[in-house]
Amino acid sequence: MKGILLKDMMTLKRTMLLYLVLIVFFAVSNGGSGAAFAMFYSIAMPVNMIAVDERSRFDRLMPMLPVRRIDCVLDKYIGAWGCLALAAVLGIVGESVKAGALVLSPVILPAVAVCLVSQAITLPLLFKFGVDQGRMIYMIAIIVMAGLLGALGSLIDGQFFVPAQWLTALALLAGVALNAGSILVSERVYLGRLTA
Amino acid sequence: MNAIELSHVGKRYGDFALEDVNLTLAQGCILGLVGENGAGKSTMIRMILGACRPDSGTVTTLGCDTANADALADVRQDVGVVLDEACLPDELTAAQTGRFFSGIYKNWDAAAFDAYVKRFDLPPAKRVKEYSRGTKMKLAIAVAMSHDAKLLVLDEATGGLDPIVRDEILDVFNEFTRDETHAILISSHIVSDLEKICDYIAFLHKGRLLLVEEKDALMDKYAVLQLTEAGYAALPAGCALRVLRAHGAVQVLALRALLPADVPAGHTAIEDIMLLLTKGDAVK
Repeated sequence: MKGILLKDMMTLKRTMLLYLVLIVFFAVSNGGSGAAFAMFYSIAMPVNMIAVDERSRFDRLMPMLPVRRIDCVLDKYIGAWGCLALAAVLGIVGESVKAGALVLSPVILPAVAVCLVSQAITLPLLFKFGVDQGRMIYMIAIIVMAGLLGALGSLIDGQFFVPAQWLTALALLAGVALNAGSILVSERVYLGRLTA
Repeated sequence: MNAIELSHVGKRYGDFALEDVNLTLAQGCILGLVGENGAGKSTMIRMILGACRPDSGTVTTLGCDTANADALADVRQDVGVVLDEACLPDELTAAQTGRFFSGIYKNWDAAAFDAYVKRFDLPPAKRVKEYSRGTKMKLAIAVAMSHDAKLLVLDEATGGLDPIVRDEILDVFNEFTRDETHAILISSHIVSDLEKICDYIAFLHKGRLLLVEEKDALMDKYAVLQLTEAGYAALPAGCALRVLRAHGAVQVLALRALLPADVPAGHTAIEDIMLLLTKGDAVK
């Protein structure tokens, strides 16, 4: 796992730097909602990671290396979670710096939950279909995420009388649970494809 | 313990089928795997490394049944792999590639890797994607040789290398098997390379293993003759195994032991034996 993560960090150094600049820009200019937008981009990180492996044909070599099958997919999830966490933290920092006090934008946690759910759904599909079709999946995921966040916002606004904290907590729990299941599905799908 | 054992292995992909393959590679030996494109060499190699599963039979690598995925992940620590392409992350430099693999292999030997980088004259600061194909392959070989592997699996690893570099790489492989606990499985279209270094030759044709023989025995056993029709007709019964008629000449794969004394049979290249085995007609 350590080696694979190190490889992804070294190969995607430039992409990660660009991502960092984007998050800082959005977080500073639009606070929480800007950071939420940057969070949506976190799903692109595994797309990039898989794309780099496919382009160099490293995906052919990987199943022959002493790497546990689960680690081959887990590092893509870790990449996505890392970007999501970075965007969330910088969103909070940006908002707090602007307000002059620690502020948790009401958008941040629902956005984290929506991104987690979307990652859980889209990553197995990326592993199944590869990067070319994966990019299309990513575009669809962005649209779905925006829709989900809007729907979650309506619920939190009180139209359906659901307490905001409960709903957010439930969505976060669902995101975590779905990610756990998603990793297992991805492991089967991805390595099934490679080792057919 | 054998380095590799395949027992009654079968695998089907659409029209292609690898059928009832039985093969053993003992420690301390180099086995050359030859066969035309699509014969099943790479499929066999992928099964040996656990990257695909046989439909039938068993594959054992360094004593581990490849069906046991978790145990095999540990066994792969002792296997060096080079495929027909480098398949290394191409955004990395040679030095970064070394750092990456130090996180993959427990026995990674950074000093050995650096020595190979120098020996193969690899530019340490250039990114892999800027390398020529030959240089990429040398880097892949350096990686495979730098983690104290007991088994090297090389699938067309010398393809794309010029003859001088190939010779140097073959020396490296020969050095590797001086340790009697080491073994190499190498597939190559460059049969002359295999002739130089292999102890055994396995010949795969259309998914079937036609022969596995000790290289010297193979060359002692068979002769490839260029004869006229009259010369061919004069051969004793049972001597000719395969015959190929082209451009007015008759090429014959014959058993040396049954050749008449007046029929000259010099050195026989393995490539010629393979050609006759695949393209020649069986003599009844």
